Amino acid sequence: MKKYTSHLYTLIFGILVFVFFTFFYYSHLYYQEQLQLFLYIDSYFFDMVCRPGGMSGYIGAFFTQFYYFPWIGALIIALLLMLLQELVLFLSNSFRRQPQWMLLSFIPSVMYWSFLCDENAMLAGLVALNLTLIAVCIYLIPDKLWKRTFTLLIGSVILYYWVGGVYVLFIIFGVLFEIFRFKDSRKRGAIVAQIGGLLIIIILPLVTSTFYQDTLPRLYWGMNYYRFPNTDFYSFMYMWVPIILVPLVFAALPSQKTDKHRSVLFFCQLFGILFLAWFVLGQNMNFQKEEIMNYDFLVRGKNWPAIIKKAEKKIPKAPMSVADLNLALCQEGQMADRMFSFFQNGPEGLLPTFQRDFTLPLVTNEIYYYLGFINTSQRFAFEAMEAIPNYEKSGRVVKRLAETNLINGEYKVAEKYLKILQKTLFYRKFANRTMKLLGNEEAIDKHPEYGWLRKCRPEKDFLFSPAEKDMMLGTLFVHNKQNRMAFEYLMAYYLLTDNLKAFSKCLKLGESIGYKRMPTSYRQALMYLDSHQ
Amino acid sequence: MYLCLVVSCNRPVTNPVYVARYPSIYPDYVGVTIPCRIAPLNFISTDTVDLIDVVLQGKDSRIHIQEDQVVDIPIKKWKKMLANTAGDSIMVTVCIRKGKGWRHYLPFPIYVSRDTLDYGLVYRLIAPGYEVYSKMGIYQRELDNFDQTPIMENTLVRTSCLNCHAFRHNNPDCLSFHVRGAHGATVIQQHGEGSERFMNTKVDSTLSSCVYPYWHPGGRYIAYSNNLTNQAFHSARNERIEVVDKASDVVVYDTKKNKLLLCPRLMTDAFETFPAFSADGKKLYFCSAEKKDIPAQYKEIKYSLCSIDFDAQNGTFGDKVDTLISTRDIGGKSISFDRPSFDGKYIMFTLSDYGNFSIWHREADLYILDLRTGKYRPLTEVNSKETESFHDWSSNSHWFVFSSRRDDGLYTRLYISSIDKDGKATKPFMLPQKDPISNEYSFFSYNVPEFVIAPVHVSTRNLNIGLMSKEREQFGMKKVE
Repeated sequence: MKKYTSHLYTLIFGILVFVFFTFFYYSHLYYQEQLQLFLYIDSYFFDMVCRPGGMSGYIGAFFTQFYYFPWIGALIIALLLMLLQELVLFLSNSFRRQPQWMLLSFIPSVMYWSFLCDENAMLAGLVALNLTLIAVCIYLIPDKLWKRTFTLLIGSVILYYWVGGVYVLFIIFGVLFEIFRFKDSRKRGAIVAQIGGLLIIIILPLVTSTFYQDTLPRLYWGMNYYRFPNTDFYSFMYMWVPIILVPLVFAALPSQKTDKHRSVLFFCQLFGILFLAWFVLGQNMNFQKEEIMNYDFLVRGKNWPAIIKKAEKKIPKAPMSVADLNLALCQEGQMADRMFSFFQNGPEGLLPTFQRDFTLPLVTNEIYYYLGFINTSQRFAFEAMEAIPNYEKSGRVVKRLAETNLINGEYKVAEKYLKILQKTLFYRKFANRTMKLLGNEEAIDKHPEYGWLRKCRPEKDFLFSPAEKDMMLGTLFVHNKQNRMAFEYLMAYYLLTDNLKAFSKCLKLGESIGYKRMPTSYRQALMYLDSHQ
Repeated sequence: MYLCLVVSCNRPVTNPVYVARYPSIYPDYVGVTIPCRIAPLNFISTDTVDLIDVVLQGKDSRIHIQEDQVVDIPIKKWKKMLANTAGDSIMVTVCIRKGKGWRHYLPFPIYVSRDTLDYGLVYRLIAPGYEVYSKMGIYQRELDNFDQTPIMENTLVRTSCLNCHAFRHNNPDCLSFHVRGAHGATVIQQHGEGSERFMNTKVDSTLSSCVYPYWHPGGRYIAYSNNLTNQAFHSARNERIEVVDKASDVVVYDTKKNKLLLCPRLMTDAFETFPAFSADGKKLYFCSAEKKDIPAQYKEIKYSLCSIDFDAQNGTFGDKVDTLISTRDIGGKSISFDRPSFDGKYIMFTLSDYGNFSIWHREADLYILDLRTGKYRPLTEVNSKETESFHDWSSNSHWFVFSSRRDDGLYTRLYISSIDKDGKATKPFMLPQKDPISNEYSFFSYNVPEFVIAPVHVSTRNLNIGLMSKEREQFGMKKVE
């Protein structure tokens, strides 16, 4: 039983991680999934692996696709963190068996757990760490020094291209094991390994720079660990250093023989770990972002009632969330009545201004899409994808591009995107289903979403003008006077910009919508106008 | 032994049904004319097939391939066949098996020209986006195989935009390209690898940094445009982007004296752009449009093709600007990308309804002007219903490469065609790919294709160091009359 106690702690840890990501942080996972496009084609594989750290990037992307179902993503993260802990424990015990210090082996996993709370932390980094530590385990297998030296030198080079910058841990562990375990550090073979390892660390990225173009810091410290490429070495230090320190602690600290001391030690470690977890997770968890992402998650799933229900519980203030809420209210026919029951931040809460990033345009594209501004939705979605900092593509965006091109009758382009989506796991069904619509005008016109949006999109061209959103909304509505969303957004725009004159002038246009009664906010606006005239 | 058995176990084509038409293949290589040195024209059937059987019959050789999808022609055998078939044609017989039966299609020819083609192509790969750009790079591709290597990718200097690469008459020893962004510069290389200079091209009297480049044949001068460019976005379904210049001028950079030559006849209120030196360097061609109010009158901007004399000895310009083709003469349409052939016979240009950024104009087509007769005509042999835009001549002026969106209307692919002595073009062929299906999954468009007569050698280490440092050589300027 004692033999399995450590695994029991690992399991408990894994369950905690799983529960955290499944129930409290799942929108982050869903958000991450949409910022990549894992394709089951040879060119995608070769493109990924033909760069330093590419294999771990490929495996990380493979696992990340399962974030489409956040609970599966949570399970994968839990398993990888558990594996990390087990590997650290195994390596630490390989230095010196110290069961009483066992809980220290959770430190790296706790640190990495907190790192993964950052939505830009890539799973590839955790995969790379695990692969590196597995390589260290393999290093320990040969009993002869020359074999270990050979493994270290050849393994380092292979590992660099598989996992990127974190491979240095393999070399460092190799040297440490020769010192502390094999006690061969002064033998010629070990010295060769040490010098060779150092030379590899210095030279290998330089050599790589001659045939692979990237910045030297990234070639040295790794390129798939974080979504933003301009990250310095120190960002990863706080996760890598504990992985080396914990085994060193095992090697350095004395054993505790008495049960009483062991119990004290255990509880000290437990409280220490819990405190560490509380502290580091507290630093990196961001439930404000989780809320914003949750709204977007619901928009993506077209779960309008859930958005409204969520807002009724806690009124959102973040601009993106307000925009999502307004979209949901409109989709449910409640905007004209209820929008001012919630926090409004002006016209930015209706149609946010374009920004060159990968988050806001993704949200805004949804609003333009449902309005019927298909070209604008297409542009915002495309721009969001192009803005992804690590140059990945987005399954969500490619799906939207397939839809906008289908609606616009650009069947060849739509087909291209659908063929790409057919090479994915979770977008394949959509792609197969939608392929049947290509060129089938009748089927598209009858489609409840695409057919309707075809009728809404403007036929007469005009240039998008961010300063004249009311003009654009008005033009859209005049083109299709059943486009309730266009009308209500136009009215909302006037109300939010205090342009009551234009509001009252355009109100009559809404007759074609067929309101059974005057919506609340319009009635209130008219009353205000009357009282001030 | 086992491998030999496996390899030789092609299914025989038995009792095929004869189909009296050419097979439907992608890319469409039926009846194209190719140079005697080009990568294999691998293709696929556009129909779903179980097996595709292809026999290529050259003058003295035969290649037989049977595949389930991509017809992957062995490169060594192909090269040998081309070498022996120059001036003649290869007959390609395609049989397709679907289910139990074979279908035998009409054999089609691939003509092998005796005219040689340059060593390679340089192009940019970039997504057909709007304002934001992701990964992009300038690449070189050897034409007789599938090797593509990066000259520079924007992973080397993050968040940078690379554009407007140009060579002196396809000679890679003289290279100019721009890097935009926080570490921006114009990179000029005149003496091969290691001679990179990092320039700041904006001077007080110019509108902007230098944009569209064109080398003088002598190698001393580079003509540039200066452009104040804006983008606007269409709301209606068939159009996406409008790129308009609010102002533009043409200037010439003297690399020997490090001076930008500013001529008032090239810096008027009109919009001058797309400079290109004549083959002998004695003239400077460019496009010019009457100034209009932007953005209100963006559809009324129509460029004419003009020229001005240029004295390379003194770095001076002629007294007047000649109009070779006025927008009025050409049905009120607009000319862009004027590119003279290197033998001095032709100018190829792109014609669109208005404006100059023709890649976003679906009606844009290639035209050719015969400088000897002054007559011009559309290149109907190569134009399609979709955009044909940027183009470049091979060094012997017998071939040209151009960008086309004929595949799907959005993603640009490269096509190569030959020009005979009468100025007639042959059916263009798409730049061959090892796996033609790779185009389907690519998010990149091919952009600004330029032939090169030899490999481009650029030191990426120097590029990285030079661009990351803040030091730039400043263009000087000289006002000339």
